[in-house]
Amino acid sequence: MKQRLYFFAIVLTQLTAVFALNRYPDWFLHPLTYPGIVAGFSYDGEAPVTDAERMYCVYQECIVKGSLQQFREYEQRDSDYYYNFDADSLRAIHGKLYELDSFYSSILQGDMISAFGLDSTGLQNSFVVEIDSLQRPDWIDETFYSAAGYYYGVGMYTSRSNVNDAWKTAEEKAFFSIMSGLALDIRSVLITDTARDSDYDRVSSIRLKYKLKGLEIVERYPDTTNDIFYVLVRIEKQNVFSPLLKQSSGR
Amino acid sequence: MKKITLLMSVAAIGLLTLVGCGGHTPAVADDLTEIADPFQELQDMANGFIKDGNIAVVGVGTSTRQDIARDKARASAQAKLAESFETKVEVLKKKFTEELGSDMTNELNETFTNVIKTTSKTVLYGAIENKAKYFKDNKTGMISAGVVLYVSPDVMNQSLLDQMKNKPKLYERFRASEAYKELEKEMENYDQ
Repeated sequence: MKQRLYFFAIVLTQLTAVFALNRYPDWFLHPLTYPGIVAGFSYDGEAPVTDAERMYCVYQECIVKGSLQQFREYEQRDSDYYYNFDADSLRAIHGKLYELDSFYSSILQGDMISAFGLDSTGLQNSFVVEIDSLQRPDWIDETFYSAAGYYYGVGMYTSRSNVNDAWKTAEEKAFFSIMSGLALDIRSVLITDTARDSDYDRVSSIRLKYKLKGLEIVERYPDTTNDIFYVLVRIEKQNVFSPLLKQSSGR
Repeated sequence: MKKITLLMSVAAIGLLTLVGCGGHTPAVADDLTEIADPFQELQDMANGFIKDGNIAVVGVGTSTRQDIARDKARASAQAKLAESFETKVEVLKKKFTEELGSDMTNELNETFTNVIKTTSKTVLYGAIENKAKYFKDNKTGMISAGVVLYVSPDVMNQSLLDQMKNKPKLYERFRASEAYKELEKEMENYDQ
């Protein structure tokens, strides 16, 4: 009898989770209210803790280096840049994060999003938020801005694809918004495909080299009307380093 | 009587059909002359390569000079090869999407799209010219050259794999670096 009740409870939880995309825990939507909490996303069979440990290190300190080429006509992106963090940091944090809460972002795909923290009692007074009750924030109309000693970046991505990937992409785009809002080395090249007659395209090449310390996720907003996820991130101005900024300030 | 009438009707219809089917001459047969493809042999060879799983095309070029005709033929074949390759990659992408449904990750989609543009150049350099054939028009002196170019699936697959390996996936874009201290030193100089 007990086993049947447990089974029924699990099934009920699973069924409830089917509708989870209309409800998010507050720690996920307003992470700044819960300092010390890191969200981890499951992907490709990896548990959310894998992503959480990496992102914990990225938020602490990372060096963004690489390039991005964008073909105008073919609408292609060739990205070859990384957020590098110290491998020693990862070794130091490995196995030390507690899983404090989790929810299914996709039952069918088995995708989960979890809250992690160094303190096992770190997540207090969180609650579930109905998406419909959320007010549309003003910051989603921005891309990059500065206020009160911080740089803010906004990233957005369609939510029609995999939910975890969409949130993750929006977050990374928010980081990129900060860097592109400050200074980028952009070169434009006109290329001609000699294999075809008069076929050409313009390629923009962006080089990145930034050191970022203390990245914070301020807010996440799911726009269910337009199927877009928005993420707002911020970083203290004094924690942004780039030789490109030195060049631009020296002019 | 009715039977006879019916039989005669069927026979008449049959006769008319036979007349209609037999001995039909084309209206403008005298104005058309069938021309043999001088490079049919090359096309048959290309078809043989395709049957074996390669991508193969025939390129044709004309010039008063044989070497230029050959260069043109090769360039034409290279262009066709690139287009054939693009088509094949698109088919791969479509198949992949159909198999996995909507589970096509954003980066993977981007990878396949980028392969069309960048790998096609790699394939061109690895293309093998198998046979060339020349014809000269004795009246005009123009030389027509035809070549067969093909690429083996190993070269093509390796190019695809190389491209995919080089593409950072969404989650692996955030990576631990054993050489982080060196990266910090590099921060001093943007040109590094």
